[in-house]
Amino acid sequence: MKKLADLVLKYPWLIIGATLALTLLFGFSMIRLESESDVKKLLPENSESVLTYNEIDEEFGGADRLIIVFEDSEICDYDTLSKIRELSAELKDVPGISRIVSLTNMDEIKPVADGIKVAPLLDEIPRERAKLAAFKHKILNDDKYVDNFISSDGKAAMIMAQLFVERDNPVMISEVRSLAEKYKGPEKILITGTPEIAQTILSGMASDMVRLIPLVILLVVVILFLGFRSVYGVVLPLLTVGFATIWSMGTLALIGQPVTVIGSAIPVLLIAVGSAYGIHLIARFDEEIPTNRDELLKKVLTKTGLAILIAAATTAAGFISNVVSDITAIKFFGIITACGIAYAFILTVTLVPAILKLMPGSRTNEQVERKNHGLLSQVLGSLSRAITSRRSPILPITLLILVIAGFGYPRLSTETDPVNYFSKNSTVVKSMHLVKDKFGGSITLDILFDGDLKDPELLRKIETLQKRLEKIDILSKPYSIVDALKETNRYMNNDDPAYDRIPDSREGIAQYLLFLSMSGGDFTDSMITSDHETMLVSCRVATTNSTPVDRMVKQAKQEIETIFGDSDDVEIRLSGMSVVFKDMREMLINNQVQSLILALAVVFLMVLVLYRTPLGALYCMVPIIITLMLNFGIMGWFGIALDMATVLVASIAVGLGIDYSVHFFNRYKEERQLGKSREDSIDLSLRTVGKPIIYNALSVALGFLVLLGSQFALLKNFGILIALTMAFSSFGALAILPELLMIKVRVINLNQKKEKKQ
Amino acid sequence: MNIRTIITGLLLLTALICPALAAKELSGQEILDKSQKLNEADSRAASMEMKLIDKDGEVSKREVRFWSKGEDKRLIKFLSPADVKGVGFLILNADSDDEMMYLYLPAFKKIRRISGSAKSGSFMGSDFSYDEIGSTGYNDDYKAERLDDENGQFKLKLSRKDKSDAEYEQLIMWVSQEAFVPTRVEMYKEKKRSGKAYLELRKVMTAEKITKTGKYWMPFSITMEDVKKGHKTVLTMSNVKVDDDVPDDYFTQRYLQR
Repeated sequence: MKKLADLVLKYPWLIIGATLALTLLFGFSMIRLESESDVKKLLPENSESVLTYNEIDEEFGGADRLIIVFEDSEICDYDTLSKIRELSAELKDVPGISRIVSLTNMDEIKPVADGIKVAPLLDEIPRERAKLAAFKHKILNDDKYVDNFISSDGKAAMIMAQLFVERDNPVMISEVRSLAEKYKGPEKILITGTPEIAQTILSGMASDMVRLIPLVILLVVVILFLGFRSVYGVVLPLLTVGFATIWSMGTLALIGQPVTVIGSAIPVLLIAVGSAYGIHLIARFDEEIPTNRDELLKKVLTKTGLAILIAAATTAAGFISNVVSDITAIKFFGIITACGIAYAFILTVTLVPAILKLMPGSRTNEQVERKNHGLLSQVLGSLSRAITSRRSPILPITLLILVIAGFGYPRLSTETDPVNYFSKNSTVVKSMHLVKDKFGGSITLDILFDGDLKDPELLRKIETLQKRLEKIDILSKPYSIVDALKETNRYMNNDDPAYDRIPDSREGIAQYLLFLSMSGGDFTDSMITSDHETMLVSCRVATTNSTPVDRMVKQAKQEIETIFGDSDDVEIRLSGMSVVFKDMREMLINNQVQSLILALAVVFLMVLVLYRTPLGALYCMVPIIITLMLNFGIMGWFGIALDMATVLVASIAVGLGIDYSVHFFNRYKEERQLGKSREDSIDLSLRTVGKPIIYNALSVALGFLVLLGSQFALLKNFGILIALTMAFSSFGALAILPELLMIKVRVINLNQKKEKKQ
Repeated sequence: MNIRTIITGLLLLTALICPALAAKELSGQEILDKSQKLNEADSRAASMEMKLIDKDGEVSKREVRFWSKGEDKRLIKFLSPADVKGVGFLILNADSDDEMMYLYLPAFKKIRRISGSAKSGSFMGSDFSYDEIGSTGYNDDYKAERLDDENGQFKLKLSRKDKSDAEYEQLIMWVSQEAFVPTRVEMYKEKKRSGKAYLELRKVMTAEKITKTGKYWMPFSITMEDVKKGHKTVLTMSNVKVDDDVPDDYFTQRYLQR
């Protein structure tokens, strides 16, 4: 630190110049930044359901689905059906869409004189009323269509777009939206499905950030001004976080990663968190008796530099612990925020002293005097007296609160349902409900079968499974190659219902499959691969809500178990968005545990290396552990689920919260080394670093509370939780940590008393 | 997929069967006409082996025997794999309004009339449309423009006619100057992206082992590659007979069952 201080004070202009140059460089790289809501980036990389999902995508031409619903007083009239046909045709050409299925765009197996054909369900749209009525009657009485492509009241029709996982989602969605706009009126057209939701989230987040970044800057300015009442006290910390943010986003661009949904929160986060380092440095600068400017800065840097380094390193460790995440977006969020913290640190120990050296004028002692009197100082003073007194209620009360928090743990839940991001009145939620009410829902349960699919025995088992799945309340009736084979058999035998079954021989199945592949365009492509080795059963799921989805998946697995046992003849894999969401919930918990353990371990080691006292390091960890226990307790009690954002809270809290303990402990040790008593050291530490700690916690907490202005419940919860953990961990550092340090004094006192008695 | 492939192969065959003429300064249209008009073999018979190769390199094989007579009668019998052996497929009045297609499935000992999707729709499970399969040439749907010769071959650009409903907007075709056989055809489809139209290569057909059989030149190996799906099919011809007068009763429902 001393060498660094010499260097910085020797070449201040060089530092400023280099900073500006780097900022320009990173600033220019930011131009290349792409924001994207690539759905794949938000999915876990290694889960089986996602691997299966990708396989379905390759083998069956797209695994994702977008749903477009037409609403009108009457679907089966010439105008509406024509619109559905034209829109379907135009949608087919949109990049990313692999297949369109709608009333006007699908084939069916039909009997013809002496034979059978696979032909469009609706070839020419009739103008005559009678023909339209006949068509309506036909589809409303066929469970292949009703509740799937037309609602039972005949007032809503669905166009289902099968999508490739690999696609430019924003471009696709905007094209689909503008096409839908073209065909609107008098019919209502709405778009839903996870790709649409992802896009709505992305654009919502973007508009969020435009509003929230200025707000968080304003907040930090106000807090800094109240704290320092000087221009440099406001400008310098702000400058460091501003530059650090530009550098981080530039880094993101340089490593070729896009801004994802979670990544868009990085600027707000860095501004709120990174200002702390400048605060600590300037607080010390203000506190020291002004002498020669160079000497002063050297002292400030050597005294606080290490503490700031530790604070930054632990915070970065907290963030980077998210690299264990299975979700790419979260992983890179961790890496970039850690970089941002490193940048903020570097700028604080170079740019800030460089500017302070060049800054004209000097402070008066008056200012220093005034600063030592204030409400906050008084509060800290009485806190100090309470702790250093004989009896303090702080530890017992903390224990009691922890016990209460503990009762919240069993209520902790996880949630990956993207619908929960939105308010109940939003278009997204309304559309989801409409699709749920009129049709079978917009996400799917996909079951992939690998095996000898010409074996009648196996196909009959799959048929049985389908029948049982239909009975699960949130699943819609699937239409698979099994159904197509049954229909073929029936129509090959003059529409005799007795033949509505799987043929008895493998030759029979093979020959029907050949017939189907010869007859009907891509009729079978979404049901069975051309090598006839893999087939797909896809049921629509009425809800994205986790509880019923989890129950449904469990039930489906049980049915598979009872029907197929541990047969080696067939490999059965479950996927679809419903299962992916379920697996993601399990991963969130695993990742939470892993990243938390990693963060705690790294942070503990850092503190241990720094102070070389295991007990001291442990003491520093206590406030943060209490903070975590309270965090999860509150999540349980208030029903805040572990989701994509709240899963980050714990590791961030570890990295940030430990700073307060470290700052306090650093000062305490410094005083102890000067030969002061424990009580005096605690008292002095509280009176000196207490204020910057509170300012720091306050600015971070308020910075994150800015997220309350977000339109997403997800980010609101994230903001509240971080703010609370900041309150807990700063209180822990100022009250619980000194209490722990007093334990030895109390034990000694107790022993002394005993000795006296003896 | 298989049947379509076969038929496309056959189309190529028909296109090839033409006496090679001395190439004067022919226009694109004349080259196309010549390569097309030479479908004069009265009857044809061939065994075909198809290798379907997917993007992971996995191969599956099919074998069929094919007969045709005139322009309107075709018969295909499946030889392998075993579970479809004996399946017969008969087309009468091909390419006309009263086209009839019959399928014989030995597992059920039944002949059924079948009917494909609409003309513009995809035919037999793959990306080829019924139209492309059904018609004998490109003349009806495309106008040809001659480009600079390449590697001693004619090169043509075929643009879809305004009224045509053929699937591909543009074809680039290389034609052998000696045999007047298309050796390579690239098929392009128009795509729109953000309002801008562009051509996307979808399929490539290559003809190899072009040999003279009787009066006619024909390729004995045709490869079709679906560029988008990374899937390809290699058709190999053997036991080819031309103008060998296939009996008329081959093209009857009765023979279909045999």
